[in-house]
Amino acid sequence: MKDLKTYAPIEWCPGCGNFGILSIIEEILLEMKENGELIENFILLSGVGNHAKIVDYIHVNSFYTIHGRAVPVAEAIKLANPDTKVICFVGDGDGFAEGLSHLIFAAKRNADLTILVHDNRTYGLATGQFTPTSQSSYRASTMPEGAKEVSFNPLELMMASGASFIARGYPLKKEHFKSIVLEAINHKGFSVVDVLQVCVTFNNLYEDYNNSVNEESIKDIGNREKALKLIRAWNYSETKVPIPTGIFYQEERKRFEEFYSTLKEDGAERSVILDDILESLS
Amino acid sequence: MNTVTVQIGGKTGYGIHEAGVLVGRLFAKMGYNIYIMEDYPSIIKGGYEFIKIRAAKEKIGAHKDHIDLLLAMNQDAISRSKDNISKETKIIYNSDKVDNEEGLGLPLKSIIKEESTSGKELYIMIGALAKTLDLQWDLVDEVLKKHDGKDLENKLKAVKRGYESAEKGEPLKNQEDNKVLPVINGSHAISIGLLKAGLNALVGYPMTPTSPVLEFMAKYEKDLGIHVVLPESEIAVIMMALGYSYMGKRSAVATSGGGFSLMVEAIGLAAQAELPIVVVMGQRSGPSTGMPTYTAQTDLNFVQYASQGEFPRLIVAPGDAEEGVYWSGIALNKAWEYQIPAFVLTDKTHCLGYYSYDEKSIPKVKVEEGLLWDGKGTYKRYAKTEGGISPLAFPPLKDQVVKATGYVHDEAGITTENPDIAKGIADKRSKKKLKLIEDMKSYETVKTYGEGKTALLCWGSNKGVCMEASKLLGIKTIQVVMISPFPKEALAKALEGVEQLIDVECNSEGQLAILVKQYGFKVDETVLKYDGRSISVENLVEEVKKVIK
Repeated sequence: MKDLKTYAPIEWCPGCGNFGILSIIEEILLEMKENGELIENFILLSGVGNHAKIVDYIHVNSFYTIHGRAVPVAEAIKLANPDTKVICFVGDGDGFAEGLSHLIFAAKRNADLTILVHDNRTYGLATGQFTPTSQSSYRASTMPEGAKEVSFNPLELMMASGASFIARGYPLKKEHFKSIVLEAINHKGFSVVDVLQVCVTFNNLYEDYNNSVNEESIKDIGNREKALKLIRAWNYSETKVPIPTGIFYQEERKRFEEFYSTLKEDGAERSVILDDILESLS
Repeated sequence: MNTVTVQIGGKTGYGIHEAGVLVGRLFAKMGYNIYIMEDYPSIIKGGYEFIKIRAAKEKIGAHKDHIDLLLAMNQDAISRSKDNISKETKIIYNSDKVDNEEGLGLPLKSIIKEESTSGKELYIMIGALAKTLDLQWDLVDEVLKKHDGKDLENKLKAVKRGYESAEKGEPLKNQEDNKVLPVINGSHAISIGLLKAGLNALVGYPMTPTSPVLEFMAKYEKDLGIHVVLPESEIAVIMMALGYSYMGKRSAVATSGGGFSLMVEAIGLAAQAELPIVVVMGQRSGPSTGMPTYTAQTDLNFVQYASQGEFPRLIVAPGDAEEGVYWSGIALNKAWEYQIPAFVLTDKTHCLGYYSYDEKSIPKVKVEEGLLWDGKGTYKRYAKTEGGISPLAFPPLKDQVVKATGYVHDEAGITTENPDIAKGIADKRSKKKLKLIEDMKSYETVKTYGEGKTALLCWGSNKGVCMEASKLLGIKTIQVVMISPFPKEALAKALEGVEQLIDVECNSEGQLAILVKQYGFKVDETVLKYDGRSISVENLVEEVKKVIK
């Protein structure tokens, strides 16, 4: 197979930032396949929102879940079979609002997942409401006079939660973005990439990003202080300030699935154990 | 004596539960059938709790109010049981804490001091009980060694002292003709049933009354080679369980109403994505926090209708240990056969009540595979078939793709909003439902006990009390074991010759009665209890007498 496309018609607006993510993922998966990775070991997950349609467009195992809930499904998939490579596509409303607790706990557990947050800072499919990372100047249909609360910095939160790989990328800086995603997939542990994905219809930030995104390359990659400094350099509320992108933090740590043993399927052995248990209760 | 009800009462958090179960195991070793009921508040230490252990020659599944032997650790244990104490009741009490004119007073504090067996107060009481019922010392010694061997020497010392302090009363006879059966609670039974049917992963968030399912699974996780996962919320719980299902691993979740409320959205996902899942749903007093450690049968409607959209679901309501094992096994097997959500609808009475379990009395529970893909051609997760069931395959699968989704989808699992396909997959779910209804006709989904023109109608944990009361009254009991799909034909058959039907439930609206009426059956009377307490045999006999023709 030359590509990983499906017959599903792509339903994103022309110019949607999701195209950049789709093409990079396709490229990476194809390259990995050529390098001998088993494509059937990849499992893609998504929540609900414009980001989520991506799983329909890639001819790879997938589970299109419900809003905010892709991450716990992904954790279980990895526990069920540690040979899998699990990639979660989540949105900012999806992952940072509805399903935030799951991201925090997957980071805490160091579940070996790759989380790509399609952070367009609006509810696109729901037609333009305010999300946890919308800029303060954003005039959303639900907050026509501007924000009534400030945005949070999701990567700072991920750092506090114990994420072992933290990055931000901008798909228009194609090579840089690709290298970040590739590293995230190869990272053994919980990796999260906040992707500055632009919603061309409801929050078009292309111009701002093109002017303000900086490609950082950090040498001292496991240094929390330095990582936090970079992460905190941009607070998501402002738009016309420098925005660092790159891999901010990476560490090796025991992974969630390493705490679990392989599932046993031997029915006869189980019967004996259950009989013993019942004997112990009589 | 061939039967006895023992009650142990005292402060919560000081071993009343363990002592009660130990007494149950003593009687079980003598060949008795056991039923244990517990009443405790939502308090870790302090407050008042009691445990009731009933032993009988025949099979039982309910408690009696009247106490034959009371072990009273404090004044509450006597003053709060006044209605259940008669002049026949033998009372052994802690004379440090209790003023009582009758019975045997033991100064536990000074005995403990003399014997230096700190914390073993209840063992002194058990010793006194053993002597009062004229139990063999060897038996006491054996049971303690087997079930409560930690710090055994001090325990035995305390028991011995209690044994020596009491006098022999009317002996509790050995039931030599009976088998010695294991004593397990409803949660253990459900766990065993799921495990026999091949459970791979139990995902849970602790909540009364199903936490013992989590604890049981966690205790044997390594030996059994299963996964027990305890994530951040009930939402994560059910999503993880669906992750296992997607990978072909049999999963279940255990919860109660509050936790299940959080899981509801994902039940619809399971239905749309056609992923098997078992939910052990242990009812307790509601709405909201209600009374967390008290019982109810108030979620029959909730579980039947939870989640948006229309889809088939299996709901079974076991009423004792054997049914807990058997029907939980069926729930897991059918969930996989039909790729649907299945519910084991239980309650605090059943989950935390202990029963003698006779494995030989039920059909063998084993893994029944669902319809598996034959490996030919291109795999389509939602392939059209005659009966509506698409063959299962799980990733990783060489040269094949497995796509699951909560959206309306085509056969390959790709999203579509095409009206014909949308109608097609709704019809697919209906076909599965019809097939399930037919299939379940070969199971005993409605059970009857006894004969008579008057019948008690019950479900779940009220099985035991209805059976016993109806026997005493010379009437019939009809137990609806499967709630959904509703076993209309089986119920019609069970109702043949019945002229008066009395519905017995632990809720205030008569939810089963309403359901039964929807299917065109007549319910004449209802006996409803909704104070968080399970129904006693005496209480039910009295209530039924008021309405029986």
